[in-house]
Amino acid sequence: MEFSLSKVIAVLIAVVLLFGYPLYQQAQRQDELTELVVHGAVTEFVDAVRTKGYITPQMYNDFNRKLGATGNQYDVQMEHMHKKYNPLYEDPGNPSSTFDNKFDIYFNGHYTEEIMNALFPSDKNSAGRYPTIGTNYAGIKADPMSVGDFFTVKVKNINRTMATILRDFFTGGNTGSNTTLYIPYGGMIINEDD
Amino acid sequence: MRMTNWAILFVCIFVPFFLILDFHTSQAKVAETLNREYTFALRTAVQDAGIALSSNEMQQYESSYESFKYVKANKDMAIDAFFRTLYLSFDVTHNRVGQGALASYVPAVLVLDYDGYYIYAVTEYRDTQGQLNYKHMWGPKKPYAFADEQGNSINFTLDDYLFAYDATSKQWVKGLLKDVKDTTDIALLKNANDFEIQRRSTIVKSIQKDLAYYINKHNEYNTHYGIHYNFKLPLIPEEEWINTINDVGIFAFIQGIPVGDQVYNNYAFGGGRLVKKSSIHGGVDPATGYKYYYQSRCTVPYQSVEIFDHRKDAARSGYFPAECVKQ
Repeated sequence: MEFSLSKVIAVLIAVVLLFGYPLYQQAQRQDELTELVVHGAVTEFVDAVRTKGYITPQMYNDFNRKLGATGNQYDVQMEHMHKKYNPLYEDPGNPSSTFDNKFDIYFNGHYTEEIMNALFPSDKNSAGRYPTIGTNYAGIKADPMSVGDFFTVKVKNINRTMATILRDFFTGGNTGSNTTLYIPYGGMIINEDD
Repeated sequence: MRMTNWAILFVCIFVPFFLILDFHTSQAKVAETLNREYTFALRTAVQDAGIALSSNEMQQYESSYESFKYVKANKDMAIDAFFRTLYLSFDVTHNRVGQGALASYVPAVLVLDYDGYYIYAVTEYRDTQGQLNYKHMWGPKKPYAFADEQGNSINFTLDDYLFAYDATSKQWVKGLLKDVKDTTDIALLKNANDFEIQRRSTIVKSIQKDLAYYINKHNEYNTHYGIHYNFKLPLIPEEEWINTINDVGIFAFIQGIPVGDQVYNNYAFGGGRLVKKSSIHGGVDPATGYKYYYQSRCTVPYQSVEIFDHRKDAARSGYFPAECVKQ
């Protein structure tokens, strides 16, 4: 019976080395390639928005299709910070109070929900586009996208990728977060659509 | 021993080596991935800074007839745009500690202005409470200055314009090389070729010297923050320097960010040249009475009536786009 123990161990090792490990490596390669594709898609989309100064549903759909081709689910956050200059009066409520020729700069944030509503409006007849002209979906006056604004996209995966599942299986662990890939990328708007 | 035992023995010996190798390759892959992401972030940041550099609010500093390259570099806007974009791509916009940590990997940012340069680097100063502080700050503007053996000194610019002190006549002169060269006795100004060579080498040398100094200095400050990386001016090819000093621009360095088992080390250059905007003319075709718009440089047989800022405004006023055959 002394040899049967070594046989059992040999079979176990063979299974791990022949099937488990290659599978895990393959899954990891897939994650790496996914990262490459997603990073490419995000930079392309953000750079397009920065240089054009607007977003169309077509641009967003193209971006989304590239993400979808990787077979993962993603959480896409968009952020448009509109730069505003605000004059500094001693009493902002009183236009005749002293104004010492100074201003401060602040940013108006517009986030995914608003951008998505502008791109894919509930009213099917109106063409989607961001920035909206006039008022946005909430009835607030929309900001344009102008030079000096900032636009960011943050993408992270929300499904559990194969590599995470296999790693948890082999190590008997439980990775808390599903996120294996997180790509924030942003920049300044350098052109205005006019 | 049986075959299976040999096989197990082989695996036992082989696996540790394999795992170590695997660990190294995976670290190299992490480094590769982060390298790519950081390079994108740095390039975008520098591009944005280059664009912000040419934003100008004073009419007298617009690029003028005297020199195409004359642009007043708006260094504060540029550095603001640079760091904002960098923070966005590193996702530390709402994280002050992260911003500070990231900034400490930026040993120096150089802004090339038309007649001098600024370096944005960590400087030590005492605040009102007498506390010693280390913070990124602008250094004074330094001219591209050169002095010859006769005691003449010349301030170069990014083109042929110059400010010079003539030691024999004890007078300051300024102007384009071709205008100035007959009014002074400075030997260097007599030969345009020598002047050009000296100008380029002066600009590159003074920038290199200062950058090397500030980047070295950064080592000293960063030991306080626990960053153990030997900051040094990277070797930048001669050709890149020559291209760099052609125009107003911004030059940023990022060094020492740990990626995998390596460190990230890169620099990027962003140009700030203003592109001349041509105005749109609206004209009437005398033969047919149709209204057309065209760019001012076009030669068209129309009678110019109005000038517009943008083609859109011209179309709104009822002008058709004109075929611009001869420019």
